[in-house]
Amino acid sequence: MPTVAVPPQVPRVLRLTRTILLVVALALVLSACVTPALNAADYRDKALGSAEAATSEVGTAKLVCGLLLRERVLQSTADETLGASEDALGSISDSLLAVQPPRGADPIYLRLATQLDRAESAVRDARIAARRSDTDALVDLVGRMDTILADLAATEELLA
Amino acid sequence: MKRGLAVALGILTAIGGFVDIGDIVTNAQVGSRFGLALVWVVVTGVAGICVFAEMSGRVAAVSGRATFDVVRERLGPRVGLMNLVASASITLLTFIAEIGGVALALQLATSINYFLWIPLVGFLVWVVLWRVKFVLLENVFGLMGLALIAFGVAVWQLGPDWGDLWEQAAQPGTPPGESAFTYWYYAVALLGAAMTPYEVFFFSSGGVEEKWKTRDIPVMRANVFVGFPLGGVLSISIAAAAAVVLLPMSIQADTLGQVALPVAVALGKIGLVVVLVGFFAATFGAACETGLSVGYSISQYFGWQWGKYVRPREAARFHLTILLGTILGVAVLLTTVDPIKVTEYSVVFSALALPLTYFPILVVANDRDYMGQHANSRTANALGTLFLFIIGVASLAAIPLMVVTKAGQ
Repeated sequence: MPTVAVPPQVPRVLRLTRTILLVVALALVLSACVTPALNAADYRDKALGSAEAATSEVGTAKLVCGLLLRERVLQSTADETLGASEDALGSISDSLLAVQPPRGADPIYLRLATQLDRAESAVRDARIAARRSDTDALVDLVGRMDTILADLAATEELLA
Repeated sequence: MKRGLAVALGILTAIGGFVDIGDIVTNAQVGSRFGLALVWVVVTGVAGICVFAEMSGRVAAVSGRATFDVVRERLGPRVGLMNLVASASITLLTFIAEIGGVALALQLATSINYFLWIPLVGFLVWVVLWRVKFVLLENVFGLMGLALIAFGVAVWQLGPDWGDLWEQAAQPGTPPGESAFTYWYYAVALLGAAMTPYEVFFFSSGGVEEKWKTRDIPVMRANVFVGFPLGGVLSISIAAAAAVVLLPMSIQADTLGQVALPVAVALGKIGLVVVLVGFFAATFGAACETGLSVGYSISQYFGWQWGKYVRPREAARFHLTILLGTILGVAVLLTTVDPIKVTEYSVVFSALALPLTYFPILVVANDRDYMGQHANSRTANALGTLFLFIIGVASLAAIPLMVVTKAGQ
């Protein structure tokens, strides 16, 4: 009599664990991807998110510059915080540029791309000035960042 | 007198040891985006961890056995394995986040890139877990962690509008510009951060290591019901400092440097140095606790000899597990994964795994065969069931909220 090979049964606990791990992996992928902008409204949402994130980083850099001028922050902490803000602005800019703007969204794209470029440049200059302990440059940069923050706020208002 | 000092020391270390990288990052993020509108979650989470820590401490004191040991025996190897997989994987993720947190704190203090610190931190954690006595480890980092009180001092020094802060806390709601989904995503994350499973396993395993007896239950309860809530106050002060300084400037606290800035604004360089010491102590202490917890949970499930009170040679598999966990943690961090992102994910996945971790504790603490007259009272059962329901809802909502909000963006 021929024997039928019975596939080994996977224990229920292992199957459940495998399912949970798959769900977790899927959630990680879904929450970490830069999704495409399907329409103008979607693009505006992404642009608004970028403007808000940029405001946060420029605000951080301005706060650190102010603390450096009042000698209330350690050089190492200021240096690292400014470096992190600069890196974050680079990522924000890259993420926005990676999204294809839909028809009619060019004015938003150009406006925000310019502002992000200015923001990144100002924060980079702030990091350099902080490392050189150049107080005159830091004073100038605080003013420059005020202007950038005002422009970003206007963009956020436009997109909201 | 001596007993009083022991109680005081236990409470102080419980306060300082309560806060870890998950609490620091999540509370600062929430404070900078929602003000104090999510303080109720921290209060709920602290109450929940008190309920379950007390139960697991009681199990350790009465049975002289650690949680996983009893859970496996009482609920069988399959349920025990599910409990183990959920808890150990979350604890390992938290361990990775803590090592990254130590490296980030050192980077803020020295300007040396954190990647260079990661292998050294991993090595130091392993050496401490290998050589340093349990009591010393618990007390030194717990007491140093009290440096985070600088956040509370900073809030007081900043002189905020206390009425406004109270209103934010007392009338919670979604602030303008934030969606309800994001609000609830961070509520789940805060609950996960406050009720991290390793805290309970470390607490109860520590009880077995220190040979708690039933006469030690009052001291254990004092540590839990006084120390943990005061640790929760530290967490809230981190959120409050961010709410007072960062929120009005639209700064979202996404890095450890941003988290520390409110203290620099209020207290200058000295305050900043104190906070950096607090960051280091909180994360290093938690790295040791999570590293040990990984070893505890796996060894207790498989019935291996474990613990810091036996010589490493006698608990070789326990120490090997810790060593492998440390190597894995360092290796993961050296892939350039962002430690803050690991922290953010660890607290949300922690929320996902909470029911699998805490349900067995409730069952065991309620079993009169094990606990005799020290089994759960009706109040303890009611509270345990209530918190189990809350963490069950949070667990179900965690992944959908993570996907919908793109991890809180």
